[in-house]
Amino acid sequence: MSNIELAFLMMAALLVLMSIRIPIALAMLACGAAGYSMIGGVPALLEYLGTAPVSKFSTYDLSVVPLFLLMGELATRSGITAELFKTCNTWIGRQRGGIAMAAVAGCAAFGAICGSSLATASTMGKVALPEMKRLNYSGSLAAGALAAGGTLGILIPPSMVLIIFAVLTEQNISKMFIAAFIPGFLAAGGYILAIAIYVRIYPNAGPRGEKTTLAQKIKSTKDVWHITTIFLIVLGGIYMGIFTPTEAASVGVILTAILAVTHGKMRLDGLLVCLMRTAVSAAMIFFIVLGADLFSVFIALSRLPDLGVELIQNSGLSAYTILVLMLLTYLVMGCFLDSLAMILLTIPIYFPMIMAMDFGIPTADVGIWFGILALIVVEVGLITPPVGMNVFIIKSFDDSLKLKECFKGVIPFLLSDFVRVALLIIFPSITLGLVHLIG
Amino acid sequence: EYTLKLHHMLPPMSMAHSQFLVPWAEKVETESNGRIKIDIYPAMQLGGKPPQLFDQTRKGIVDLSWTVAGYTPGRFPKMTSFELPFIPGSAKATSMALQDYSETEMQDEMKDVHVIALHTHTPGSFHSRDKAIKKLEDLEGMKVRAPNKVMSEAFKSVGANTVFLPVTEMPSALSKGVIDVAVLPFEVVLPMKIYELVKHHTEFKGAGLYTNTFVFSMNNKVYDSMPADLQKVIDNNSGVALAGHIGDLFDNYEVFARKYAVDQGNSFDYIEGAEHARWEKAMAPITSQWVEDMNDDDYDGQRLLDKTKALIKKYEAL
Amino acid sequence: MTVFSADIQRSFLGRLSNIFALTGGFVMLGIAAVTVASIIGRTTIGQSIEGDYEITEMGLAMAVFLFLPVCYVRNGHVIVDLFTAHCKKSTLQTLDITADIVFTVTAFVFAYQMSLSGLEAKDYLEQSMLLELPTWWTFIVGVTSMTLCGLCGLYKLFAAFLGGANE
Ligand code: NA
Ligand code: NA
Repeated sequence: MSNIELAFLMMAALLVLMSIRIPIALAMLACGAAGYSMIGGVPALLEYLGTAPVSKFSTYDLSVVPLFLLMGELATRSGITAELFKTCNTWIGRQRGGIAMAAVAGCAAFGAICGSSLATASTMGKVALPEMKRLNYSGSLAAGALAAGGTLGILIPPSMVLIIFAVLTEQNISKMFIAAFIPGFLAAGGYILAIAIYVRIYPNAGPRGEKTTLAQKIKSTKDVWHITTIFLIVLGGIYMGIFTPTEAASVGVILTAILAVTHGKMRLDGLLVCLMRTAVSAAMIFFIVLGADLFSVFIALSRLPDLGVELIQNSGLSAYTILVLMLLTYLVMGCFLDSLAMILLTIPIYFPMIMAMDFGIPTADVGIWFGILALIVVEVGLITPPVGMNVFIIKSFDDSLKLKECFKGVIPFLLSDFVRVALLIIFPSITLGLVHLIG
Repeated sequence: EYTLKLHHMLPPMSMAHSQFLVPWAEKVETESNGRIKIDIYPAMQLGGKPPQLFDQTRKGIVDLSWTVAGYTPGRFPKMTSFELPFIPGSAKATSMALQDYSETEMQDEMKDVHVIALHTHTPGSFHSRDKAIKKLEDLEGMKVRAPNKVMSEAFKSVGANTVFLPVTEMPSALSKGVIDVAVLPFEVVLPMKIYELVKHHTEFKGAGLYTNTFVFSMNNKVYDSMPADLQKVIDNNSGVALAGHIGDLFDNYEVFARKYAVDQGNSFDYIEGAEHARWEKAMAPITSQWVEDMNDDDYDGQRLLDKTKALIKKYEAL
Repeated sequence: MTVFSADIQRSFLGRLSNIFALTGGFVMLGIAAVTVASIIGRTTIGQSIEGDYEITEMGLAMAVFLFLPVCYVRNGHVIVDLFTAHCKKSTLQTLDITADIVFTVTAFVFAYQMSLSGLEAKDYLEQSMLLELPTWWTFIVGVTSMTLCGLCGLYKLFAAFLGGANE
């Protein structure tokens, strides 16, 4: 059996193991380990197992995940988010699907201070899911909106994946962030539009709330000055250069904790519950990160990505066809791998190819444009079955949710993603305009 | 016959990957008539973090690796003489000196791997956002991202506020002003686009401010298992000559990379002559501290330091 | 009737997992506090906390390890239930026992291999760059947590077999 065949075999095995209720992380570890040992040998595998957990878990960038999880818990537990939702509800609750739209807008706002999709999905999910269930939203719509909304954490700058992309491809990170702005807001807009269409077709999915007066609206808005202040401090701190986006998570946690104690009357027992729930969610995420790492190392060892490149290069297809093919491979890989693993595996191979092709736009622009396109399709992987990290996170907050209904709820948002990617491919200036204007 | 895995930390667009490692692998393949094939895995694709690369080679998880030796502090104490302030010359001379030094002084520290070559980069310089660094006092109170522990101590001793961020955090930290100064060679300034984020550069004429040491090594067992003729192919592509070649690549690339900063219209200041002497004097306690620490650990610090200086001088003269 | 399976949360191992998780939680709070102190320090008196980023990395790794047992005890790991939604209860039980076996073996393999790597890290003086924090500290936490994970797995298996016998 060649290494390539082995790679395909293990992908199939992974699917089988996952479908018979082996936890995702374990399935990835098992298949990755089997494949790795067959190419690299058992001793190398054992060495890897001895060192990988410590090195993978001590990754500075990932510290934002448990910190933002904790921030979400503190805000939820102390009732701060309930107030936030009451405010949203008085303003747009009357609209069908209004709370789901507010949740997407909330994800976009949170995405402006957080560079991680997982952290955005966790925080906003924790906050918004109970509220939507309480207001009789369908589980599908609620889970879909939050899982898709979570991807805004990376689509709207700052963005961990973009930073890694920029380092790998030697792009200017500031320019990449500027380029991500309009596509990021298009994403948020597209998701809101998707909800609007969805509730038109299924009116019961997002029922209307009660009518409110302007006085009520204004009063409820005054109630959320505190959380707004935290948000502005964190956002301002990042943009004024007081702290880095990674450090922002710590600032958010401390400010929310202070608010939870002073305003939300949180005491020790409440804090312990928050810590405990953070522990369960964080462990779930990091265990998958560990499994995905082993699996992606095995895929790298099999040299499957190189084969893909050879096939594409010898195909004699046009630049745009190759671009689309590459983006499609991300969709396939997105079924199994997490975003960072995908970027690390493919960008070193894809990027030089892309830069060598002619798209009719300046080479310097091609790098930025491709980065944004890759970013979007990589993020789509977070909400596609069978491995969709954001969907898992949302599901883990509510045991009554079935994975099937969650993935069903994601469909409208996936469609909106496809439309957006098509637009960005056809009109590169959507991405590049702002870069030329400011950069 | 042999398919070797070469693992390293930098992306494939980097100079080290495209100009040094890939051509090296191709040369070995050609000279062995294809009997040695080398698969290169860039950007830590085979897992782990950069400080673990050396151990991956030692343990045989990969066959070859290239990494920064300073990432594993305490592992190569004798090598640290090359990381002291105002030690390095050109990357070429310093690399040859380092390889020579390791062959005579560091067999014990390097016994767990088969060394292909040790080398250094071209001495680094200051890249500052808002304020040009023209003299020693200018550094006072500035937020400096130090390249390693020794330099962090050195900057602190002259009143700077050192911040140690991961490399990936550096561009955004610099663009927003979380740090004021990055201390790097231009070879890193170019790929990270730092020259677009800062306005001023300060270079040192004469002895370089600092450098980092790199180690390119092969697993012992793999090397030992090779027949003599293939070992010879590896040997022909190892040692002082290779170190000099790598150093030369770094020196040339430094000139190329520096040009981007010039074209950007950034200001350039130079520390030379009497001012250079003031810097050297100010940071001298760091070096004497190093000698003392080495003596405490039963090494002859002064002798190692003198040897380091003498070797660099010797290869500079070539 | 299953006597043990629901009990693991209230068992000694379950409570130990809780303590681990809470410790990890306080470590994360500590990390946040150190980072904020460092930010305040460098913006006011021009001095950040030395090695704050290394403290974050090491603390994060320790916290994540400490979180692992409670996640397993509370069934926090994600499973795909798309294809098994209509299976018989006994089939599901068999599948879940399989998963528990895989988890237990994985945890013990990790614990054993990490103890070897940890010892080696100690011998080779692996440490962080600025503060020279020894890496083996993290390994100790990791090995302990992984061992607890394995023991919890054994407990669940034991409970499942006992429970099955009582049915
Ligand atoms: Na973001
Ligand atoms: Na997916």
